[in-house]
Formats: sequence, structure tokens, C-alpha cells
Amino acid sequence: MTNHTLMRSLLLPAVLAAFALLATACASDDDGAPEPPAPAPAPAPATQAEAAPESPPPAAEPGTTPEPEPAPPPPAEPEAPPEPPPAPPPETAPAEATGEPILVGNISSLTGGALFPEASAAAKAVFDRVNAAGGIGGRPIELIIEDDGGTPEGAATAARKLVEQDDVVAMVGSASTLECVVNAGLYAEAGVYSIQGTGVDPLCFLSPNISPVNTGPYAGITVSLYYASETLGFENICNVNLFVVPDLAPAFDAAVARWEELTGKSLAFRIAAATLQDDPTPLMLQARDAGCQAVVIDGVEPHALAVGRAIEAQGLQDITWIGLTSYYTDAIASQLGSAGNGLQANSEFEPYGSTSPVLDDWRQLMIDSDIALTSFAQGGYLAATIFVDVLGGVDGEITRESVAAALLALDRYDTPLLGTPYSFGDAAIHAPNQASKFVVLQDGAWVTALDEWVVLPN
Amino acid sequence: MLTLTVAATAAAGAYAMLGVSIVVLYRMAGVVNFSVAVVGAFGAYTTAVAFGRGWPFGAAMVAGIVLAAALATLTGLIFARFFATADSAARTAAMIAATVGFFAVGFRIFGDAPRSVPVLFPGVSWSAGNVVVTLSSIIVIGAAILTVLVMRWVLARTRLGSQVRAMSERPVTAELLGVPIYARTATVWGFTGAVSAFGMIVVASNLPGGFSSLGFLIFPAMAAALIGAFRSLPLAFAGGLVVAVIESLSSYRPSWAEYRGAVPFLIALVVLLWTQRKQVWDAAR
Repeated sequence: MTNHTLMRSLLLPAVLAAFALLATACASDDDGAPEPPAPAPAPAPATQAEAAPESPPPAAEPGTTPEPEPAPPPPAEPEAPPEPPPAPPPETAPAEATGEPILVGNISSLTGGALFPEASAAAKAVFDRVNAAGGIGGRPIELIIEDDGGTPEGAATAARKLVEQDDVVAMVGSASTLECVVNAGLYAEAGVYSIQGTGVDPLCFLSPNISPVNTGPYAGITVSLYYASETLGFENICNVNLFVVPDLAPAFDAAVARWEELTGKSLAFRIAAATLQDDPTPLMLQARDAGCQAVVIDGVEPHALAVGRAIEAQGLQDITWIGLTSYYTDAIASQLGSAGNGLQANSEFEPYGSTSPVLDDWRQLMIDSDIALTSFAQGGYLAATIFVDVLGGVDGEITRESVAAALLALDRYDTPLLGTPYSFGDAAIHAPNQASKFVVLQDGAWVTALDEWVVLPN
Repeated sequence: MLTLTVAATAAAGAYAMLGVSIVVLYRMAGVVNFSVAVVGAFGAYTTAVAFGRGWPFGAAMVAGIVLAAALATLTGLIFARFFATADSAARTAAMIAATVGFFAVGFRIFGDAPRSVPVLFPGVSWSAGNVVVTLSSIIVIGAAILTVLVMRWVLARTRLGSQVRAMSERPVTAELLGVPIYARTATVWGFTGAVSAFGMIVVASNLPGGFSSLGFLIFPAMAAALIGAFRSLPLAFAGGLVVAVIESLSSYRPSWAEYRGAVPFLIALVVLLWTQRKQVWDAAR
């Protein structure tokens, strides 16, 4: 074959391949999407719609709302049903709630790249238990779970359906990497408020309508750096950024800047990967060469595997590696085994693997409902528990407006699952969870490294 | 600099194996095999799944390699049956269709959730100062070199090599002369499938991505093959090394790293221009 025919025959395949592979990438995002596991049977939207007009407009002034009951039943009691709904009418109390359902929305990534199935399942388990004990004033809470497939289009469609068609009173326990950035505007417009179970994108922590129960990756970075410098007392603190999505970069920069402001210190070394799929080894070697003593290294769950293996293969055990809470899963622990010894991670809630009695109720409910014990399940449980308590404090009809008013008046909710009190309130932004505990991998299991909350000062 | 270059060894060996597989198949079957990485990813993920179910690592790896070889053989037989006499555009289109199909099926089976592909020889490494060489990276480089040597010998010196080359140039004539087309096809495609699966198993344990991102390693593999101008096995091997080292070194400057994907193609351009420097305008056009 002559050279010029060779070149011509190569040009076509190369161009075709590029298009074809791109097309696969796009298609496969949508393709792999079976129906979400538990979409509740769609209730007639009309029945819910008639309740809305007669209720008062969203109250900007907290004074008009009923007592929000800050933290009446913290989920600490070890008894079997420790959280009876605050005011079930006595005549229906033991019976299942049969009234008109209170519709609540949840948008989670159930298919796609990063999966968060436990949060919605855990929130549903909490509501099912409340319903079995009589519901809220005889009305069951019905959680409508929508899958965003990890795509912006999926998240937008799901929110339109929940907000406009199903007319949900609030969003509870959502867990997604991009739901907030897509839908914060819609929620603000429609007066819908979201107790986010797992917020990841920056808008989750920068919207008046969303208040996540989790710390999130940004405060997570700040608190991990703070732990390395203030609690562990290291001098040379570094940051390796593997979670490289263009929109997130400013939020990560701000997280580091916040630590620098809080401590008056500065990073010895900072580096970012070029793409999410990169092998982290070269970055970690540069951190070693820069003399880092502790490295806060972010990323999604699979990064933890790559990081743990690089630590072992390159002999980087002398450095304290602190991952984000995304590393803190049982799958990572069992797959790394002893290769991951010494790798730390922040836990946004009371560490799910701990035997602390404050987790007894959560643990039992998850086991009874066959839900994996993960921090996502904690987020969904906590969001739903807070929501049930908020509903208990709503006077009169439960509507989107009355729920909004109750949330806007909720300025403190104490729970032992968090290091700082949860809150909603009428501030322009919400990031109530500003604390973490830290866990460390030892021989294939995560154990608590520090059983005290590391709380970021204000 | 040296540490990062050495750290790239495992990826270098894997890219070299994939690139060499592409060149081998192009020379022997006349097809640019876009599916080499995604078929290798099937092998790597099968290994991960089998290992996850408690198989010993050796058995799991053999299962993955055999499955990848079987998939590649199947693809090859389909090509030999239906596209033996088709022109290169039709073959390329069919190859792309097969690749897209593999992506879709793999995504359906494995999802895009990452799986832990076990490390070949965990914890076995040698270090001198800051430079760490792992046993698995030496093995994969060695396997890549061995592949190059064996395939050069097969292509140039053996009856199999000349038969397969005859098949790719004049399929009908070769068949009339009594070349067992299907058996030869199965051998060649199966071999490249097994080689790519082995390379992929080694590289997958270092990478954080899922099934699709493993399949997308076709890009560095194509770059390596292109550096070999789809003819030279040693150059394709060298191409794999160059691409991996560039990837590793580019992490020094994240802002440059975004463009690193283009660098191998620039190198390929230079190689192509250099190899044609003596052509007169008409022939090089």
C-alpha cells in the first residue's frame, strides 16, 4: 500500500471513530437508565392542588409560624420507635395513616456515573415508619423519588414534574452531584424548599431555598485542612485536587482560601489533575517531593481506590493522606484491604460504622429496611427526620406555603448526628453542617481516628 | 522528572500493547480495530467481577483474558465472513459499529460504576531513592516487548504470517489457494484480544474511571499506533511509551495537561512527514 492511500484510509477511520465514540459516551449516559427503584404511584395532582390556594403566602416573618420545635426527639433513643410523629391523632395513632397523602419530592442519582441510591431509600424508610404509626395528623407522607440519571436534563425534568405536576410541598433527602445547580432557580421561583440529603455542587450551599444536612466537599476540604493543621499539628499541608470539574474549581479555591483565612497559614503545595480519569500517582509523587506532611486529597469514590493503591505501590505511607467523605465507604475499605492502611477521610455525620448509641435508631431502621449502612443513608434519614419534626410543628393545613414558613422559622435543630446544629431560616445561603469527625482505614475497615467533632470556627 | 517517568511505566506498557495490537491487526486483517480497548475493558472487568466473587486472582485473570479473546475472535469471524472483500470505508464503518455495540453492551452489563481491578503483584516493588519500580509494570513492559518480537517473527518468518497477510491483501485468492481463512482469523483476532485484555488489566488497577473511561483508552492506543504509522511494531511500542510519559509529565503543569491529548497526534504528524520527506509532491499528496 502506498503512503498516500495509507493516509487516506486512516483519516476516515480517525474522524469516524471520534464521532462514534463521542456519540457512545453521550448515549450511554441515557441508555443505562432503568426506572428508578421506587417511584411511588403517581397520585392525582388535582387533589393536592386544591389545598394550595387557600393557604397563606409564604411567610417571610417567622413570627406567624407555629413553634418549630427545635429538636424535640433527637434520634438518640434506643427504643424501637423512638420517633413517634409529634401529634398523631389518638384515634388513628396505631393504625396506618390513610388520609390524603402529603406529597414530598426527592431527586437522586439512581443511574449514571455517581450513584446515590441510599439517601432516597432511607428517607422513604423514615416516612414509611411515620405512616405506619398514623402519619401526620392521619395523613401519610408520600415520597416521590425521581432519578436524575446524573445528567442536568434529567435533574431539570425531574424537578419540573415534582414541582409543577405533583405539586410537592417540599424536597427532602435528595442526593445528586448536580441537582442544586440545575434546580435552585426553579425552587426559588416556585417557593419550594429542599432539605438536601447529600449536596455536592456549590449551589447546594449557596441558595436561599436549599439547606443540606451534609458538610459537602467544600467545607469538607476546609475542615480536613483545619484538622491537619490544628488538630494533627502538621506544618507542611498540601492539597491534591482530583475532583476536577470546571464549575467546581472556584468553590474548591474558596475552600482553601477559607482555611488560610481561618488559620493564617498557607498551603505548602497544591496541584490539580487534568481530568477526572487521570491516574493520581504523578500528582501524589509531586506532593511527596514537595515535602508535604499531610495531604488533603479530594475525589469521588473510585479515586480512593487509585489513591490507596498509589500509596502502597509508591511507598507513600509516611505522609498523612486525608480523603473526602466520598472515600468513606465499605466498598473502598474491603477492596483496598491492608493496602489502604493509614488513609483517612472526613465523616460528615457521626461515623456510620461507629457503635455510638446515637446511631442505634438509624442503624436499626436501615437494617430493617434492607438499606446499606452508608453516610448517604445517614443524610437521607436525617433530612427526613428533620422534615417530620418540622411537619409536626405546622399549624393547620400542610401545604407548600405552610411548610416553607415552618422551614424559614427553623433556626436551630440539634441532633447528635451532626457536629453543628442543623438550621434553615431565611438567610440567603445555608451551610449548617460545618463539622466532621475523622476515620482511618485499618486492615480493610474504617475506624474512628478522632472521636471528637472538628468544628470550623465562624 | 525521573520519578514521574518511571511511574508511567505500567500505563506505558499497556498503551504499547494496545497500540501494537492495533498495528498487528491492521497489517494482518486490514482493519483498524477501534474495539481493542473496549474489548480489553471487558476482559479487565470480567477479571474484577470474578475476583470480587472470590475467584483466585490467577483464575479470574485467565477468565478475563479468555473472554476478551473470545469477543475479539467473534468480531474477527464476522469480519471474515461478511466484510472480507468490502472496501476499507465499509470495514471501518462496520468496525465502528462493533465498537459502539461493545460500549453499549459493556455499559449495560457493568454500569459505569467503577470496579476494583486487582493489582497484579501488590506490594512487590524496588526503590532507589524516590524512584519506585513495581513488578507489575516491569511485567507489562516485558510482555509488550515480547509481543513486538513474537509478532515481527510471525509476520516475517512464519507460514501463518504469510497466509494471514495474503488473506488481508487478496482474501478470495487466499481462500482459493486453500488458506484456512476462519482458523487464521480466529488466531490473529483472538491473540490481539488476549494481549489487549492483559494490558488493560494492568492499567485498570491504577485508574479511577469506570468501564467507559477504560474503553476510551482507545485514544492513547490509536496515538501509539499512529506513531507507528500503522506499519511499524517497534515504533508503535515506542509510541505507547511516549504517550504515557507525556501524560505523566504533563501533570507538572495542569494548564498544559488539558492539551496533552493532542501531543501524540502532533508527534504522529511529524513521523508521517519525516517518513515521507523524500517523496515527490505527487506521491506524497
